[in-house]
Amino acid sequence: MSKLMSRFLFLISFLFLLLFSYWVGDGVLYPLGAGVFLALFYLVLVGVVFFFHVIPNVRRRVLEAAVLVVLFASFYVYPPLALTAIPALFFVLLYPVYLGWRHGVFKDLTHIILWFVLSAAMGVALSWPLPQTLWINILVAVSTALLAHYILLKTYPRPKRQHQKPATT
Amino acid sequence: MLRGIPLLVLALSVAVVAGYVEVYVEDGPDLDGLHIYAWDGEEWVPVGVTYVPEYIDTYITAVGQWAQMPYYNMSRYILQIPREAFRRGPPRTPPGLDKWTLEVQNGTSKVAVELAVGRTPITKENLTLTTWYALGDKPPKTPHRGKFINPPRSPPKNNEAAGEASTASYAISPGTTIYPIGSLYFKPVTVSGSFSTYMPVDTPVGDNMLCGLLEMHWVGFEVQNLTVGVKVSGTINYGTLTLEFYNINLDGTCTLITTYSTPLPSSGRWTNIDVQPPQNSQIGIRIHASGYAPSDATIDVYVAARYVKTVNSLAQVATTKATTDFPSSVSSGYRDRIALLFGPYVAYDGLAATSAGTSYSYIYMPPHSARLRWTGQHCPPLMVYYYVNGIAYTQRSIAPATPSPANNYCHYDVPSTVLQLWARAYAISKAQSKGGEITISAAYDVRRSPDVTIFFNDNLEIVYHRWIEPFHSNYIDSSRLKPFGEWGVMLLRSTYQVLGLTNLNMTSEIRISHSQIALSLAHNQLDPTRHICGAEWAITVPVAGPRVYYGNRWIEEQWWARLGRGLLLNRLGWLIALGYNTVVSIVVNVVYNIFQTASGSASVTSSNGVYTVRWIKGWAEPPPPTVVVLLDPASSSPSQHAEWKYFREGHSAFPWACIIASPRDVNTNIYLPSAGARQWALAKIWTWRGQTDVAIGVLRS
Repeated sequence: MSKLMSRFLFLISFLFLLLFSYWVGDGVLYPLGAGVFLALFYLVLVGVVFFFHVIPNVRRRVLEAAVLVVLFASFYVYPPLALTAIPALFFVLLYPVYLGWRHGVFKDLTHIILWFVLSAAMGVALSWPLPQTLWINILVAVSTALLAHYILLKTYPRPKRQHQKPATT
Repeated sequence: MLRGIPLLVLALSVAVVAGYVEVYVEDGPDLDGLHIYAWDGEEWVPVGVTYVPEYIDTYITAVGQWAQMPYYNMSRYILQIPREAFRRGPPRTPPGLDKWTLEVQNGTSKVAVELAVGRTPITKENLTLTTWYALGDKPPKTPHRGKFINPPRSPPKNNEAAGEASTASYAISPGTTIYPIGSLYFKPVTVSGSFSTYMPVDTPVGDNMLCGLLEMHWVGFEVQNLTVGVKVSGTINYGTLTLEFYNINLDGTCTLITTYSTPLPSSGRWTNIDVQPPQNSQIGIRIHASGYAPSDATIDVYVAARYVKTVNSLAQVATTKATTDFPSSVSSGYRDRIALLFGPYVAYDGLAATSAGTSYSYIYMPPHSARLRWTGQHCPPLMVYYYVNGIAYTQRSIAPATPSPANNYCHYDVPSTVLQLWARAYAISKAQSKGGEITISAAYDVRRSPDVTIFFNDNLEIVYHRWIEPFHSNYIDSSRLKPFGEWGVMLLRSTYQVLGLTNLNMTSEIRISHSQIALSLAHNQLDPTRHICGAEWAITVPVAGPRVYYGNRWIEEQWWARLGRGLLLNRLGWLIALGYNTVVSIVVNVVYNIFQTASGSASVTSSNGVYTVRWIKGWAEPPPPTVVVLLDPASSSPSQHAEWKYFREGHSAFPWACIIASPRDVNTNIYLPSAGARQWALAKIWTWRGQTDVAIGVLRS
């Protein structure tokens, strides 16, 4: 798996996410749509975190995205299962960050916090004059997250420590 | 000659049924509103008129299918004349009627029959001998052909006055006198043996007694005439239908004004009855049927009442709009004539007619083009005929775009046309038990071209004004009380109907009282996977506090959805508060929506005075048949003038998402009564039940 492949996966997921969001417009996502949306978002987040690195175990990441879709589709069978959407939400948001930390993309907790704050600030600034539609918000949020990630990778001081081979997750 | 006699006898034996001869008249004058009598040797008896249709292969745009449909130009009809009228001439024409001569030809033989024709019916004791009309459904089989040779005052040719209208012609202005038409509703009655019964009033509120008299139907004020349709299923001998008109006094008693008796006709006929009750009194009507039925027979009576009202305030009228999505193209071949039919549309009671018999309406037929495969050297003109409710309205000849075929095709550009609803077609539809439905057709002479295609560029639109039933002409006058001062009840102020192509038939209504606003939506879709999953109304009425009902059932949030939403709001509310501009907030909002949209929900947003009400169907619930969003006025005195800007429906890309479609322009006005007009009185809200009654309890509160 090369960096090129990582970026390819990111771009494909991002493109589908944007197209999907554009199609939904100002409509409402039902569980299957939300499952697909979150699965794509999960892959995009993994892609953002590892945009300048190599995504570890890509097949597993895709499988995790597929499981998300199946989980949300199961809400139709037994609607109270929708409560599992809350842990799924944490998984989508935190697991890519955990993977990034585990594989040395993020240097420490401060790096992660700074990334979040910087991308949020840039997102607010950039989206302020733009129409508040889902696809534009996604475009702004992902691009600012990627830009903030790049800036921090270039500027955040690398701690002095011994090089260590990341474990496969 | 000798061989001709048996043929004539055979023909007569076929045509002569129950003592009358059927005579087919082609290209005759329209007999609308006329009473026609023939002399049977002893007395003048009514002549029945059955209009003969022309059947045309019709593409029904709402379902995307071809069907043979009947069309009437009202100049072809069958007259049912007593046999004796052919043998004996009448002594003299009754006073008030004109003598018309009908020349009847059967093969080589010709007979002249004298008829008495006029607008006032003959009365015999208390029995009014009326001419019944019917829309036939079969081509004429009789060998007798008739022709009027000397109608003394030549009636206008059919549809002579018809032509294109303007879009401004539907607008009502204060001070105008209008003639609204609405239905009185009766239930059918089954009789057997010797019978004498009143037709039961069909009242949704179970109120069928007025001033101590059962089966009295409240008619209201300022009634002018009635169109009565009767359908008898089975055989009835010596049947009589009697209409009893009562004055409903303020002290709660009733006074009989007049009765109107007429023979019960055979199945499916209608007639016009002119009554002259006091214009400023409340009128009630009872319909009595009597006779003898050898076996079970069912009598249906349909009544369309025409009123005369003065518009003092635009709050007395409401607007209805209907539209059909255009078919991108309709293809047909090897037919002489084809037609496109738009509708049927829901027709609400209260259609505001004019004194000339048209109505305050416009029907916009969009511009379109036609292409015919043509092997001749010159392209012929294309004749286009327009029909409203199957009755001829007008016609036009369209010149080809080029004199000669281009690549074996002739092209025609048919410009847009604006027509009007005719009060007559509307009343006939009601009297024919079709509820006043509206259909619009365009027929084309395509001369058996093997390849015909018609392209549309726009949607068909119908807009018409309706009188709102509980109002009297002088409702603003505070000295008048019952029942016209009332608007505490929900009044149907505005309606919008969409007939999509092959998959959607949807009606949305706005009802308003001084304390509540109700938006309702009913629809059916042929494709069950694409039910409407949401709707958006943009109105300028300030509203708040939306509650969703399916039918009359209030929609409650599911426990797990409430729990999940609460968890997100209470524990992660700060994440949502970040807005839609970070990765985190986007993801949290998507999950939050899962809980919020589990059950049906409604929301209100406002911008620049436009209030947008949105309903979204819950993903954990089946498609509801009807949706009602009940709202509170956001201000204590709502504006007297409001607008319905647009409507959007949501299509379920099941089970992915609910996608809200592009706005459909409605742009109709809503006028509300002034604060001074709020009087509390008991309205008889069931007369034009299509306007004021709905079959769900929530709107009755």
